[in-house]
Amino acid sequence: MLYEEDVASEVQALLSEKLFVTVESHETDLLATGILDSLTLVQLLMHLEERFGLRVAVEDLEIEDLRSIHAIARLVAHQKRARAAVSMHGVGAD
Amino acid sequence: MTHVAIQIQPYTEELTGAVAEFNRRMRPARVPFRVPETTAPSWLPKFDGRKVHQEIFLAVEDGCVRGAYTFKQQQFSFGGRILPVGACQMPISEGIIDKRYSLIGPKIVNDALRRQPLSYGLGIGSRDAAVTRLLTAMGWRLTVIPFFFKVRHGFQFLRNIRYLRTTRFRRWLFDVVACSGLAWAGAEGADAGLPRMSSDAALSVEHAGEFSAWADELWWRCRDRYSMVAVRDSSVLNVLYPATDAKFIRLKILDGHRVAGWAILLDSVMSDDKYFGNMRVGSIVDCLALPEDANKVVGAAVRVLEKRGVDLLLSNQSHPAWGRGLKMAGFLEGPSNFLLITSQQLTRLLDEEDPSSGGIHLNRGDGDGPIHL
Repeated sequence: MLYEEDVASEVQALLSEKLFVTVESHETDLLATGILDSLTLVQLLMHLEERFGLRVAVEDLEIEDLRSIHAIARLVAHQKRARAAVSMHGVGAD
Repeated sequence: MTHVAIQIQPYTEELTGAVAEFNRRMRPARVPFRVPETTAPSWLPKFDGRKVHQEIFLAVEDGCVRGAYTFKQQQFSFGGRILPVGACQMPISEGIIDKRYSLIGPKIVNDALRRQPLSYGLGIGSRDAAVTRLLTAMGWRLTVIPFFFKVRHGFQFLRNIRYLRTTRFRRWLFDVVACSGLAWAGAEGADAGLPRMSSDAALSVEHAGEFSAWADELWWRCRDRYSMVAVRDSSVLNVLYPATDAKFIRLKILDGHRVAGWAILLDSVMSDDKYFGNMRVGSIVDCLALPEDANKVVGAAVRVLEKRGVDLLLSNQSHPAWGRGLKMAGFLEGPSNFLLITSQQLTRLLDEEDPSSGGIHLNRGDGDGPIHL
């Protein structure tokens, strides 16, 4: 949980630095408020990939995954954990 | 919190009602097209064995349609190598009116790429369009396909060209010039200053009925002379431009006994058109020849359209040989909003095949076809 909070703060900073949008709360609905549209959403995904070293597959995403900073942080944390598990499994297999 | 996943799936009969409802919700957005309320697209529906066809795919959330796109599948020759290519057309997302669905646009693009990584969009209309900006953000490359025009009847042109008659002063000025006879003098003067078109006595033009073996033979001669060209053999041409459709003028151009090329023309009387008013517009929609024969085909096509009495001639052509042919026939190059946008994988293939992109042969026969003409 602590990790997700750290990621959320990073996502909040990233939105401000890269997409020039200020989001007051980690729970703000980024889609309903129009902060993200299809274009800024793609840009955000690219920045997330760059910042966190992830590969986010659009086909696996659902709207709820990007609803708020909190949801995005959960997505990033989940992806990082999945990646770590794969690499640990890979080491074990060797 | 539970939520329903969005699936992108082929358009099936049970979704026609949901499509009608989607169109109704989208009406306030004034999108210039609607999703058809029948499962088969009106143009190029998929039949067994057809080399070129279209399918409609829908983004569906719990039985509700939230987006759609039409996908045209066709084979292309890349310097003689035949590969399947997809054209993503008329993508539409509920995200336009409801930001909660902003993910639909990227999902649609991704779905098209999953079906065919070598994909493109053609036409589009504006660099600033939401779809252009989205595709560019997703790494697609934008190229402008040149636009050429030739004014035959200056009076009609100046009275009707709404694209340019944008201010009261311009409208007044164009009306004065149109009525003064300067317009006629201008159009004739432009022709007088042209380099002579090849008026080779050996050239002749026939109205082609169905495309047949002669078109296949021409296709085989041309297919490795362009870095990217859609397969245009007789089976494809008879689907795109069926002999039963009287609106297409199908020309076969002969140089002696040799087939130099073919051209598909339209001669359309516009009615209160947002760009062309009430002009009679002649278009060179599609054409094929060896690059060195392009000027012969253009010259023959232009003579046919001029003889029919069109006020204005138009063509969009990407390949420099066809552009040169049009200029030799008196066309001018105008500002173009006919855009080609290529997926990352198609862009890479083109960069390998043709780093200068100078060998691509695309025109209004590609993409979503000769619409708005």
